[in-house]
Amino acid sequence: MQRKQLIALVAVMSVLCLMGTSLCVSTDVEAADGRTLVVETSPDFAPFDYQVGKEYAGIDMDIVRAVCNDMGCNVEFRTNTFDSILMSVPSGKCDIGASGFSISEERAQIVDFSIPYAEINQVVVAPKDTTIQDKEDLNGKIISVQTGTTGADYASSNYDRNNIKFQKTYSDVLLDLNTGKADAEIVDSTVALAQCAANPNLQVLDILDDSPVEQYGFIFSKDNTALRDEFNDSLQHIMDNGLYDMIMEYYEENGYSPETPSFFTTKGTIVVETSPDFPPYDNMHGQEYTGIDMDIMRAIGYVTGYNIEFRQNTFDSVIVSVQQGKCDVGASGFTINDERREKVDFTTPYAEIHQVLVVKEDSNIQTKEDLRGKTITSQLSSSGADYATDHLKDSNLIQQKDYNIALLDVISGKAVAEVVDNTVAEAQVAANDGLKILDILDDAEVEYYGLIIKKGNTEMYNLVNDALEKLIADGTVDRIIEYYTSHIGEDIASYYSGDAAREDTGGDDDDDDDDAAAVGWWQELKDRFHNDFLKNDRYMYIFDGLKNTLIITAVALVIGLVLGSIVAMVRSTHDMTGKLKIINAICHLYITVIRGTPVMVQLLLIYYVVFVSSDNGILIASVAFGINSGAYVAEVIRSGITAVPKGQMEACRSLGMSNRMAMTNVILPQAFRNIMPAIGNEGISLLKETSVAGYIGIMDLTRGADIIRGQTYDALLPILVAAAIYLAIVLVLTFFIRRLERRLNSAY
Amino acid sequence: MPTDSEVLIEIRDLGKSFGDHEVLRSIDLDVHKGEVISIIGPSGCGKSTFLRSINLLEVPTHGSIVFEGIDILDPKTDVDLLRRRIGMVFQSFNLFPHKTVKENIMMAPVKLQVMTEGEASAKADELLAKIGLSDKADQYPSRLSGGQQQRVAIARALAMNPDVMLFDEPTSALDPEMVGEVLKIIKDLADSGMTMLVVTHEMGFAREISDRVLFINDGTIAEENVPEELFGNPQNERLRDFLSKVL
Ligand SMILES: Nc1ncnc2c1ncn2[C@@H]1O[C@H](COP(=O)(O)OP(=O)(O)OP(=O)(O)O)[C@@H](O)[C@H]1O
Ligand SMILES: [Mg+2]
Repeated sequence: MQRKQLIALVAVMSVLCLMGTSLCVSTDVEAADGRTLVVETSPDFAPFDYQVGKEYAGIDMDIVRAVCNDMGCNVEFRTNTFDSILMSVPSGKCDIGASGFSISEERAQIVDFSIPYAEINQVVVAPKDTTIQDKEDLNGKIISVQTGTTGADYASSNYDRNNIKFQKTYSDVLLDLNTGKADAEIVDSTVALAQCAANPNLQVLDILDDSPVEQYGFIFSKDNTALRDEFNDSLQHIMDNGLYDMIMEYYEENGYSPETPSFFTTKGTIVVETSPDFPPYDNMHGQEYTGIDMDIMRAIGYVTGYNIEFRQNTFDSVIVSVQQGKCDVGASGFTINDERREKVDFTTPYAEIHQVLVVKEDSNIQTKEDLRGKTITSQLSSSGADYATDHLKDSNLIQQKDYNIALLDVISGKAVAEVVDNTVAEAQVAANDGLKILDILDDAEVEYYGLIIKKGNTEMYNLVNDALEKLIADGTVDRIIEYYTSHIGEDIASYYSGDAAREDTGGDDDDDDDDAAAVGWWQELKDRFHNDFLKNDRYMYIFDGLKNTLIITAVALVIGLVLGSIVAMVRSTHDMTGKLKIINAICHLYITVIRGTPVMVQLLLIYYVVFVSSDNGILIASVAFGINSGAYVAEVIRSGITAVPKGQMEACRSLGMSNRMAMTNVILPQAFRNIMPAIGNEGISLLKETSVAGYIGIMDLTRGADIIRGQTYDALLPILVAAAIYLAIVLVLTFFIRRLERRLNSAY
Repeated sequence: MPTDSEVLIEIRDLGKSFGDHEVLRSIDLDVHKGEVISIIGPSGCGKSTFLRSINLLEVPTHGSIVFEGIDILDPKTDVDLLRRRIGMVFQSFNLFPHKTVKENIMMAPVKLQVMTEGEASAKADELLAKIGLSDKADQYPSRLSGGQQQRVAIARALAMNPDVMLFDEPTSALDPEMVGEVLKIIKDLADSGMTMLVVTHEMGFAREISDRVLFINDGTIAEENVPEELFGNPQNERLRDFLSKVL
């Protein structure tokens, strides 16, 4: 019966976990809607379509990748012949054809084209020592072309066919040129560049001014204009935000060589930590990391060819993580200062800011002197806090975990002013009524933001800093900053995300319909709920957080049970027989230390001292809480054993049973009844204790609610919901513990 | 009485101290096979300590105990094997609450593999019949009266077929109306020839069943004699004092 109860308990826990997991599965896949678009190509047309090994590379392939990513869907490339793709697309066998299709009237009869993504004209390729100077000079010369190309058409309609060699492949054409069998080639401008890159003795002559200018487009079925339009929107977006240019530049820089791997081939991953509660620098838009810092990092990823992996942590912990190499780059609006310089290396600054005050609109503060004796607030360890500590000594400073809580101090009247960076201040004032900025801190130094990198990691430093400098020089950083500062106070998607395009153009489907009358507290609550949980899928923070909370609790409880049982056995054996003196002393020390220190301190120690080299936060938290729980479980088990009357052991021994036999047959089965409910209660307190996991950057339920607060400035509702979820789980667990207890008690 | 029969337990100069507190100073005793010995004495004089020393629930501080020719204080002696041959009945019964009456009786023989399940079950049935509790075989101890529980505890000890039985005030925790049923079982056992040491406050009972009565005082056996002499003509002043209080 006891076993059944245990199984039931485990089953409930796992169902809860599964619930959490299954609800979250969709976010693990990059594509939010899980769509996969099938794209067919004929990969024999460098630099547009080719393969490096098995990987599809080329301008077409990478533009399709960028666009599909922008649309939020996955891509699957398939190989087909050029002609067959023109049949495959209309029949719906694939979604998109991408194989350097020039846009023509005829083709437009059977397929739809995207907006053009490349423009090609015909050029002449000839040896460097050629005498050809203009198109008239080609008369009488031997011209080699590839059959079926625009170049072949152009040559045969403008020059004597007897002088034209029609070759099957470009290789044969090049052979003609290199052996002197032909004087010139007429070919697409991009292909020409690739050929000249591979053959230094050849040159491009752009002299065919009457050649048709062709445009390349991707092809779609005429039945799927919705896909085409969506694709076009995203294509336009990547053209606007510079990603398209980056791809084109990339191929140009590599000389259009058919060895060039895809622009998106990653050379590795740069792990970036941020505290995403600092708009417009660091924020979340739904599940997406947004803000100036994040998009600069994305751009760095594109430029360097590295994959960027974002992780979140608290502001203070990001620096520690960087120092310990748990992440490669810290990007969280770090002001460059000497104190931090001692710990980490800073990149070239990418932003310039200064400190201001955020006060209520009706505040009568006018000068710094007015702050004397008043309470002010700022984010812990921020430049604002440093400034206040140094320059506003006569004020009473509250340091909050993040600047949103600091702002709440001002709104609630606990503090008269918040000291904060001007960009953040603008965001805060834009998002909240009744606040204003006072730019009166004339002695506040202008600060510069830089990315932080572990000292001595010059490889990473050079990689990131070179890319950053390039992005500053070519105006990309300015464009990103401009994008965010022109939307301050709004919850916008990444500069590089497809959502940005859609929200800019078609934001009407969002929640602008709120003004449809119906005011009152109910409507307000509904709006808040909508904003906190439904908008931008914010509920995912709660689900993901809940999943992590349950995982950590369950794993920690298992670790705690195993560890606790071992320790309890050692302790009880020592109590009864006096053996195992040294191990017992160790166990005793363990219990004393664990029970004598706060669990949060233990968590931080284990994260930053014991597991320095690991960055699997969930695992570390599980281990930390497991170790913590083990001490309590050990004492629960030990007292459960102690509570069994001494006479039981004596009766066993007097019958000739050994100590072990007595334990397994008589003592432990009785102790079980004392222990089980207490273990259940330990599970409940563990569940609640895991709420400090956020301090090592894990998004548990509490931290999830916290992040929502940071985004919506709603101080209460997310916490209430988190509380309700904790309570619900505890009530369910309590119910089962009660039942178990009743069953155990009625057993004998 | 059978003082000339074979000596089962030979105790010499047995002493036991708890820290500074010397409870037993020096005890010498020969227990003969089939003999029934009662142990009396004032509370706290060390009767339980003495009894528990015999199966090493208490480890003596000095002296020797030889049981069936084996020096039980020799570190090489397997205490668990020895204890199988010494049954013990406690004042507080100490039945296993999570096991039924029959399971209580069968546990030791089966777990120690001295009997098969079948044999142990048959033995349990036989013992239950003897103590008159066949109908309670499948009950949990908590459903039984104190007297019934103590009878089961006796059966549990007997299931191992011990050579000697130790009783430590088997009726002290019982309501008066239940004392009789337990004493009757013990008397039956004595009559069947079992070697027994019984610590008791029931003077009448001690007188009735004992071959010999020991009076422990001041850490030694202050007086020992056949019951008629010890109760009828006590020599020791303390014994006289004690008897005058309990009789
Ligand atoms: N484990 C122990 N540790 C310390 N002192 C003990 C221990 N067990 C018994 N004693 C002491 O030894 C003395 C003898 O105890 P014991 O239980 O043998 O007396 P008793 O004659 O059986 O008394 P009663 O008639 O009350 O059962 C008492 O003073 C008791 O306090
Ligand atoms: Mg006693």
